[in-house]
Amino acid sequence: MEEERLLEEKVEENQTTEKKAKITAKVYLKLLWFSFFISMVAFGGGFVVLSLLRDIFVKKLKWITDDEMFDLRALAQASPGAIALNTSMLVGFKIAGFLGALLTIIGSIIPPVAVITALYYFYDAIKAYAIVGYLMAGMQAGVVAVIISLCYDMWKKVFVNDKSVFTVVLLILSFSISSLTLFLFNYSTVIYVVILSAILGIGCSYVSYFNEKKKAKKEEEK
Amino acid sequence: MNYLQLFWAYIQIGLFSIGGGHASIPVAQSVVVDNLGWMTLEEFSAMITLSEMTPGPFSINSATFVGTKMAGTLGGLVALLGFLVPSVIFCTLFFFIYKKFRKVRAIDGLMRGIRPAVSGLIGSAGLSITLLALFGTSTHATFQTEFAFNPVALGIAIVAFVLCRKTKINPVIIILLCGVLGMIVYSII
Repeated sequence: MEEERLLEEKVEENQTTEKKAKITAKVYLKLLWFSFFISMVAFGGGFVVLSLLRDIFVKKLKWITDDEMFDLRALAQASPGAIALNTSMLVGFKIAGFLGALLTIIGSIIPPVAVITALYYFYDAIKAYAIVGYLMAGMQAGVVAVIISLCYDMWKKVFVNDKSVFTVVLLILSFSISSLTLFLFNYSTVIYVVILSAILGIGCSYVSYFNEKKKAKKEEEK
Repeated sequence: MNYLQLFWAYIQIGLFSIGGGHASIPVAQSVVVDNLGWMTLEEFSAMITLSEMTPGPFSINSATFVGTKMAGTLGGLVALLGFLVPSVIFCTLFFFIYKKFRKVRAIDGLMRGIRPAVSGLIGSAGLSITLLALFGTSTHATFQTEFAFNPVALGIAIVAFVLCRKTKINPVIIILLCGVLGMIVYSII
């Protein structure tokens, strides 16, 4: 058994060295180009990026497997920052190490930075016109609807699909605490809520882990 | 404006924006609007709108936008760099932990707490921009003096919400339609 595991590790090691040897300038260029391309066409948020990453790196190039992609997504979700960018970064990491990650970051941020910087100066120049104000007012009302619709989906997931007391209470508490402190005292408690919920989540999952262990031990004793 | 201040503000925003692009809306609002006062909620709401219309996650767009507003193009890059620092550190860390242990309980637990809290916080940020769009104000202190109900905004928002729920039209197109609608209706009034 032990030998088998060692053998497996050895095989794995061989594979990774083999993979490492294959990383050429072409791979780096492709990482840069595809992350740039994905980021440029991905209007409408993270999910588009995630499916494009899968299409290109898993299906087309076959540089990583579907399972690996799934794991990388989970890691990206737990890391701070934008999920789409984190996933691209981790894909770059997995394929070509630190330099790969750096290249995917650069590729991914060029389009939004260029567009937003240009848009900022353009908007700044034209925002004084009344008609631009009307356009923005209309679009803002639309954004309100889009965000409410997004919240509807997120809350539905918690209230209908999840239903555990812990998540429901945490959602209601974080919503009411942050809204009330902001409305009444003009003071934001968002950061404290994030820290506290992270600690609660980790604590809660360790408690349930030890309970499971205890249960398993008791059953063994029986 | 000090570049260092900008950098530090966006390190904070980057660190606490866990759970996706929209998760950074409440965090950025908290730091930039509520606590530092670099922007009014009106400007912030305009920024969300512009960000929804362009490619790229809200967080990256907002860092670039706020940085450019506070300290020019270089400021935009400084803010973005600050935002990326926690992202890169944690991704690298988690990647090596994952490579070594394959499965990490603490990461699962973290998400168990963060996910519902972030849903609540995005709801709260949504509430403040909704109050602003419909009533012109979002805090207790100014509610009596600046309160002004805007029926046009309510009408447009309802149309957009129905389009969002009942059709599969891309949100970018829906927001554009709302802009055109706003341009027509407000010009007539």
